[in-house]
Amino acid sequence: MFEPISILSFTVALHGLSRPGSAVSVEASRVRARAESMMERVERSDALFGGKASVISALLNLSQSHAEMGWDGDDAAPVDGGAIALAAAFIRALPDDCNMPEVGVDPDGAVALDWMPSRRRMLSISFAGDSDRLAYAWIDGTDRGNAVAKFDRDLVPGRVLDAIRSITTTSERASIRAA
Amino acid sequence: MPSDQLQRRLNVLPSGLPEYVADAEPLSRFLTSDSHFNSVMAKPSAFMPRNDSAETSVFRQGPDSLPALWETADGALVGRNVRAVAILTGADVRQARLNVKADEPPLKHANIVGWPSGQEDVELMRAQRKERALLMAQAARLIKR
Repeated sequence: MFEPISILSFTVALHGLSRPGSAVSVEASRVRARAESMMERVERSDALFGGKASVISALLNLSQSHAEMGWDGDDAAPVDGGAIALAAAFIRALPDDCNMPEVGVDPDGAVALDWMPSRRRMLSISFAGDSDRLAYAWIDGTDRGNAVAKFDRDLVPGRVLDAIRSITTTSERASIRAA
Repeated sequence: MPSDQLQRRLNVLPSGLPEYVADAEPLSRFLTSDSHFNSVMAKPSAFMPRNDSAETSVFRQGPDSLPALWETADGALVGRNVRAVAILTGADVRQARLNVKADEPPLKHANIVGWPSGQEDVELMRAQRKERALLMAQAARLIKR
């Protein structure tokens, strides 16, 4: 008799099956390939992947809507495709319990991820396609600042993650540590 | 008051406005991209300059008459759909450690200037600009069309 499993358990099991392992049989390879294919479909499914899929979808929309020179009615540069990819990698690297940002494009074609829970607390990160260094700035009450951090596409820099959590927490005593 | 500033206060431009942009003067940043604002406020991207120009275009006009404001927007951004306007003051710009200077024609046009520029570390320069853009986003009032 079949027993129901939670979506979380299913996703965790699928992720485990899709990673390289020690099994070498033809059947094991077939299982792994199927799991990888299903993981891709899982990531595309907003119902299972949640907010991250929505943000990545919004980034892909930007690549179409901001593809032309002068998209702002002035002389804005086309959005940088490499910047879109880097921003998407950043979203994927965020912890699953992290608040998701809004997306935007700077006039020089860089992609912006913005956390703006209030006028007193805001954080914005810029991604330029030709650099693995992220430029970011924040306002947290009377505290404000800017910094640069390196992003290797797999792990969100600790101080950037701290800044995101500090800005998006509801605690009145939250503050950002200086970079 | 420095003599050049006094002179700019006395000089009158074709628009009839003085050359010097006063602290209390309203400035309008017209927004054509949905990605530059959300439901309540303009985003910092709305104020960022392009790397090479290091200027952000604004118009010296406030929301006293919205029809007149949209007319200015449509005249300035011909063929573009102006979706919203972010309104701030000369003081807001200067509190972000920038400046605003008249630049006519077109009439009532000005530029936000003084952005960090010419640095070898482009990403650090971008971070410094972003902080100033955040301050203006914080101060600006958003009006959707």
